[in-house]
Amino acid sequence: MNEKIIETRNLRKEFKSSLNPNSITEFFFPKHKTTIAVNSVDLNVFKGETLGLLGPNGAGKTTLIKLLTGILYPTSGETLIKGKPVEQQKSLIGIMLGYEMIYYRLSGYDNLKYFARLYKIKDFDSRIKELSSFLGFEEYLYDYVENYSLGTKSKLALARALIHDPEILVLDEPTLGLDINVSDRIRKHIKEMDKTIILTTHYEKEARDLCDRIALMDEGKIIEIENKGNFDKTIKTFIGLGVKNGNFK
Amino acid sequence: MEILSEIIAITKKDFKLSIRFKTAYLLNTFINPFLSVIPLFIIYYGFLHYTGSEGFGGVTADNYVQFLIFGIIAQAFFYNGTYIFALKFREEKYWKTIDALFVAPINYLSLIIGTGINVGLNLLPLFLVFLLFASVFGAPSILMITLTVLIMFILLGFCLGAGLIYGALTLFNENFDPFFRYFFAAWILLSCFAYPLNIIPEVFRGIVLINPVFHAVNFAREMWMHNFIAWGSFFYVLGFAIIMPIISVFVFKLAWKRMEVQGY
Repeated sequence: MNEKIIETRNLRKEFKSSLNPNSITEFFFPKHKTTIAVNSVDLNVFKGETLGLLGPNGAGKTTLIKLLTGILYPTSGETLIKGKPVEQQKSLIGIMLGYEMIYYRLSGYDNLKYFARLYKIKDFDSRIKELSSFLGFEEYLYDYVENYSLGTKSKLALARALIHDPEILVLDEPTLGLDINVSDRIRKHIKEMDKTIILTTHYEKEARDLCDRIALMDEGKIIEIENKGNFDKTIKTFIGLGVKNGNFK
Repeated sequence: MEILSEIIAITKKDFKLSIRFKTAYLLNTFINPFLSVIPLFIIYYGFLHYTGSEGFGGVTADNYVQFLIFGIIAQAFFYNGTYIFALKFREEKYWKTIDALFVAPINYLSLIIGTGINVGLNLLPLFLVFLLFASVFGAPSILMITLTVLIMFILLGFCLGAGLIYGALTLFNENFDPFFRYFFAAWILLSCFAYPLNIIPEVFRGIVLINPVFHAVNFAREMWMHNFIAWGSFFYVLGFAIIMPIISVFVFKLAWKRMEVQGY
């Protein structure tokens, strides 16, 4: 588990937003404030490990994974995937952002077929059937996604991320809003995968069950990284950040 | 051919999304384009038949149908080509599927070609009906029909390139949208879809003559109305149709690097 798969160097992302969107003066003469969503992040992710990103809302977790996957360009710094810039290594990455990135107006099958073709999967039909059976939504495969339950949408989104059998899987809150049974099933599937995984979560159980290391983020920075065995300390710090216990189940 | 797989994927996906609501799709494709052209035919017919006018700018009672048909076809290709990406990207932005396009390892030229094929398929009924209609007023050769189809799809390629720049910039910042709409409105005025060049004030004629869209329309009209193949116009449009998509992909990538998708 020592081969470095993902490496970020001094990664920083700033967003500009209106200082006071309700002000009439600013409608004509806009003033902007800069929010630093990710600040000087140096992170190494090793082959085969599952790294959890923990942090309160607004800590920069989703922005960080968007930078890691090339959805966003950094303000400064860089992300390397196996030593090359992320934009040259897109086919190595699968990403699931909740139940986004799927077309509700297409069937599950058409969604997966579309992405399979974009990723140049030759035998896409058997791959789609294999994934839908593995994740347990084959009976809904030919229905429009708009009719899916939240859990089935999440499974489809996960299947979409896995369609090209990527080496690296990036999951943003994969069980958000799902009931315990569906969450447990999705966690089970994630656990069974032999991949390098980065996942963001708010759930202690998820972090403990799935992760080999957890990185704690706050205000755009990684403030702690701990290996399995020392999770208690990191989780304590997380709770100490002022997040109410109720937000961290 | 990896790019072929991408093109097929994009074409099929766009087509399937467009037929989600089948009645709307069928009416929009087969009825709407014809509704918008009726007023033009009424005006030209009335003017050339009831006012005693012999015509203007080379348009007469004998050739106005062909004159209008190729203007209308070109305008449909221009409109659909330039607006498709802005519409598509905005939908995908709110559906939150646009990120999937950003992370996929695709050649963005396949985005233009795949989208273009789908636009071409949607315009095909209008194109075929009007070609048949134009054929009634003159006996076209196979070469004429082939070149007409070619020039319109070359025009579409050029317009898709311009459309990708519009789509990319409005995807990242919707404030660009009205400016592009004004620009395209002016472009339509200077393309002579519905009137001959001669009635445009002289001061603007120079701009019209460098406008590749005008050359595409003019090429088809010259061929059908005067049996003349203006190869110069053909290659002029072809040159733009090759360069524009390349520029647009460059602008798309640059905008993505420098700007954020705002408003979702």
